[in-house]
Amino acid sequence: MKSFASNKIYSSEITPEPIYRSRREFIKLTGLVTAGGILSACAPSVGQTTTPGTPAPTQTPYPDTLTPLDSITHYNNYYEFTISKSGVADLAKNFTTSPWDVQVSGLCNNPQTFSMEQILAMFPSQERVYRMRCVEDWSMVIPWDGFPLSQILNEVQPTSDAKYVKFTGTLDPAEMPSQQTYYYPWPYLEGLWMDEAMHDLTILATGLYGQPLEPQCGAPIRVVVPWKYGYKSIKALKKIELVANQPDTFWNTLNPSYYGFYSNVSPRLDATEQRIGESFRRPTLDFNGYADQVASLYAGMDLGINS
Amino acid sequence: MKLKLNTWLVVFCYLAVAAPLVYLVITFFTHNLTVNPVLTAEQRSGDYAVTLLLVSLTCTPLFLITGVPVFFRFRPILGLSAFFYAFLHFMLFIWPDYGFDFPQIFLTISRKPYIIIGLGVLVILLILAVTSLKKIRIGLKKNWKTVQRFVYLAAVGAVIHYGLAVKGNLLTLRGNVLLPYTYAGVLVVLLILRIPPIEKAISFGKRRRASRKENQDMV
Repeated sequence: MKSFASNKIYSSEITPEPIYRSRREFIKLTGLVTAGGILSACAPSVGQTTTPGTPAPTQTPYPDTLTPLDSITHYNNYYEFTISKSGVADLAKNFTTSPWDVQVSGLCNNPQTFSMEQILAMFPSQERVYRMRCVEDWSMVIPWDGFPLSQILNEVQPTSDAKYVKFTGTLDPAEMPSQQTYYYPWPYLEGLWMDEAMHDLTILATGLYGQPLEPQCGAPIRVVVPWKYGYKSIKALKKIELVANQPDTFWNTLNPSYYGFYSNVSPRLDATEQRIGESFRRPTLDFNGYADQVASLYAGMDLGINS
Repeated sequence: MKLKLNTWLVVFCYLAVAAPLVYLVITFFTHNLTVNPVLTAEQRSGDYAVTLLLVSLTCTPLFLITGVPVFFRFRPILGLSAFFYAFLHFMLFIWPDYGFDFPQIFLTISRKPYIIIGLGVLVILLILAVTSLKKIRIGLKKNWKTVQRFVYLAAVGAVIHYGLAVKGNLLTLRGNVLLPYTYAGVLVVLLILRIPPIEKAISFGKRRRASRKENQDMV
């Protein structure tokens, strides 16, 4: 795996994954609980959704356990390489992720371009264990390493005109086979409303399981927004722009009736999901289980079913 | 000698339609069906069903063009296997995927109405499979042919179901639209070949007679 040079010592370099995982059991639990994964709190809404008009059934507890690294790195939606989820890892393995820089510009007082070395030095990495819910009805639990997006935004000092954040993924047709075809509007674009971008749960991830990100997972740096469908979490991030108007986004441009701008996970859309590694479906939680943290952002807003 | 070759071709046809099932079963039990085997098997069985349905529709035109009758022996094998994979696709959807949870299934259908088209296709293929039984076939007499014509409706439905299921925008031609439109293109050609005047023009016997006449005229 090619990656950016880093003098950060990752814990996994000295600890094998199973031991790493067992040592991190407490983090997994505390991480998910502090991240709002109190399943019982979400149970009533799940019950109501599945059987409208009847009392909520007794909830089976659905524990969250970390998805194995091998599953996380061999089941990826990364259309820049291929639409085959199991085919991405191989096609992406030689993707050049160094040198890499991220331009942060737009409606701000101090626009800057950060090299990956600067980013790793300036923003200390934290572990965040998040659920990842794909719009295709499958989900994982991933121990990301990263830092809040708000930290890098604060560095550039957004002006009061900045209402949205626009993300642009890399445009590298030489290394990304699908970018040589006509069918998709490359580069990948995504966006967040300012309040979402500044929320503590929204991170820029540079690693997972204590290792630098592998190319198929969005190396060297990507966005992770755990309460939204996975396609909002743009990979191989090159540009962050502060803008006044709602930016165009990749999937919304392709099929606006199915992929809204907000794209918050909701059991009203698909009430169940297949957790990778489990045999049967489990209920999908409102805001992917992060309602306690983020539902207030949308108080009084009618997002509509497809937004 | 010729009969023996045909027997081998029919055996080969059976092996060819069984191969995707064998592949699915082997990859499932060796954990090579991705880390999300249910969804993957569901999608692949659907792909096989659409493909086999279209391949089954090439049999009649190929017979007309070449005059080789063995294509008529491939036709029921391909058609029934298309039904088999469509049924597998349906069963994987309602059981390992949704665990017979009908409220969830109805919710999903409301979000993805193309599932109803798929269900319609399955019903047609079921009727065609049942009426292909020898007793029923004989009982239906001339009506059998009319009933079997519904395969074209099933094929149109299957291609639409597929085109709406994959991620793309069929109107703006963006996303995963190449494969659905390829299937649609193949189907349109197959339908055109069954229009009576065109069917006559391409048919082997007709051309042979025409070329003979041409030769006589030249002499």
